[in-house]
Amino acid sequence: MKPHYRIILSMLILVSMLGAFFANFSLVSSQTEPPYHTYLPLILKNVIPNPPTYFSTTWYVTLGMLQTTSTGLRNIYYKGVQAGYLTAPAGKQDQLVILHFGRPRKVDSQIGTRVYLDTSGEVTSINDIIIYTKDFINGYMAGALANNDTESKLELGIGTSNLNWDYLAEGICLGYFCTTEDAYNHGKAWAQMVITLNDWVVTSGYAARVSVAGATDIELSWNSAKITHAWVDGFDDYDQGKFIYYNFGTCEGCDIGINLSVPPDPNKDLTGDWTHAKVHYSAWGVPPAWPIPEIYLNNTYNANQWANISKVGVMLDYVPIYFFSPLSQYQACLGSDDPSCPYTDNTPQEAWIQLYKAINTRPETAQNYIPYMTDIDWP
Amino acid sequence: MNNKLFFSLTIIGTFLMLALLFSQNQVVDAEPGVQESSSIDMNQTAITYLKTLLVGTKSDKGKESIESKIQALEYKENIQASAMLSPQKSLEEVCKSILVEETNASKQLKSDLPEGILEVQDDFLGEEGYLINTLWRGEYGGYDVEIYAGSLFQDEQKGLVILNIPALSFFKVFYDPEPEGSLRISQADGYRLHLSTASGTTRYFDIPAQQFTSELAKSLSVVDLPPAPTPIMDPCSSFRTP
Repeated sequence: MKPHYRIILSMLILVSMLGAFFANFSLVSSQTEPPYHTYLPLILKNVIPNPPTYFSTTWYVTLGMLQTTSTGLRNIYYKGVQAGYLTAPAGKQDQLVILHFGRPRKVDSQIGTRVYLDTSGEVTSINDIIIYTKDFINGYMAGALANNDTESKLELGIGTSNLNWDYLAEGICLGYFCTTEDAYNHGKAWAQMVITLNDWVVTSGYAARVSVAGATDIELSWNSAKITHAWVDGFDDYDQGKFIYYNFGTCEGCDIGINLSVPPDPNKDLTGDWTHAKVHYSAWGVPPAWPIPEIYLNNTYNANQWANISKVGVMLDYVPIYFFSPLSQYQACLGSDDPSCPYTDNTPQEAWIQLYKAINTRPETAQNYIPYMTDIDWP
Repeated sequence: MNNKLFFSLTIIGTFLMLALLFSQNQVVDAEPGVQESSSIDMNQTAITYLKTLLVGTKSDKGKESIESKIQALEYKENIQASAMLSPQKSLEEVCKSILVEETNASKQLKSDLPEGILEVQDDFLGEEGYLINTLWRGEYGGYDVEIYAGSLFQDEQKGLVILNIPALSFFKVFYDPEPEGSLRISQADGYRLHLSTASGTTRYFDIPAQQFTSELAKSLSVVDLPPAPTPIMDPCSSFRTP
């Protein structure tokens, strides 16, 4: 090779390498104030931070969890104690926990839910849920203090869902939770319950440590957007502008890939009357909503779906979604025969990393850190 | 530099560059990876973050939504800050107030649910992917046990039973080895359940053996139950004694 060809080739290779090298790197600058010192350029690849060092356990609330034990205390109290023990050894470890009380139910005039494994056909009323939640919080406070923890905080979501069984099984909503009036009133009652519980937290002297939010497992195949939006609007109208709910649901049918060239279509038809924009509304658009999305799938699709929902929001002039936590189901899948578990059993750390990576793929949906991890389990 | 040396260095350099590019590790460890310490208030972090975004928000609905979110978080912050000004309750004080709460609690669900074979609505375990029609409830091995019978929601040809022992956190699905559709509990001979299909055939499920059998009288090996979980101690137990 002639010398001048060699020089040209060398320069081309060098320029290409530098271009490739800087494409995914950012400059390190730890200086915030002048006088600035100039150094040789140091380069740093985008770094994935470490997930939190611990995770909390979110619970499916079963009938057995509400039963009284031989000690005279209900099992749910001991679940609270267990949550308080998360802080062992003593240290500040804030946690976000959801108690999933099951699908909405109404029997006679009593609004509430049907807790898991309850075959009775009865309702677990709002008043009952308040009592059981107090049990859990009492257990948490006792457990944490017994562990000499006087600092850690519990953010507790009281969960229901948008499920109507006939809608899921047959595609036709039958019975309770099929009218906007039913759903609106349930959302209203849920917000009022959250207010009652927070008032009790304050009067009990727990407010420095505990706060209560609503929560709902919104799944697109479980009910229509119309009914689901009625629930979130009912909550929004009665939350006094002070209380929030966590949407710990799914986004089935939402775009599963992150395409940097073609953004997701806000009006894309998903299941039933759902669109990307309608998912965004119930997860972030409506003021009290904060998503704790199910990031179950090992293949990152769930994480990508929620990153796309955040992008849809940005396209609709909302700010990007702030995710407090992903929800995984690693513990629920341990030893489970659920045929979907082999590919939906992300660990909390895997779920966290997937969500972090997905939302940080686009600068406009980026979030510096996701503060919590929570993992659902059966008692 | 001769051609051989030039190409050798180019290839080595290219590999080094590629290794750097695709490495998951930090190239320069100038700063540790971002990780919020648990001492940082998560709520305050979110408020700060949202306020920075608020500045760039142009639409009214976007502003309204984010301002409402900030308002709710700030309300929580204020409540917590006010509460921090008061002395925190001791364990003893918390336990005493729990005792008061217990006497106030109206609903006491006891474990005295009806036993035997019972009909259940098919949506009983619907969200979990099972269509259940009947259950058997009784005691086995000193524990309350429930057996549910039905089929998979996604494939109703796959009959199954589920053994649930709440006290042991034991919840196991057993699929019909010769699937003929949904199974229904029709009778119980001690701990051996008769399971019928829509086509009229019968098979049996033995609770101690945790398996299906086609013969009512066939002897099967007993499977040990998992050990009972370590009980959680009540931190208030020392304050409960009069």
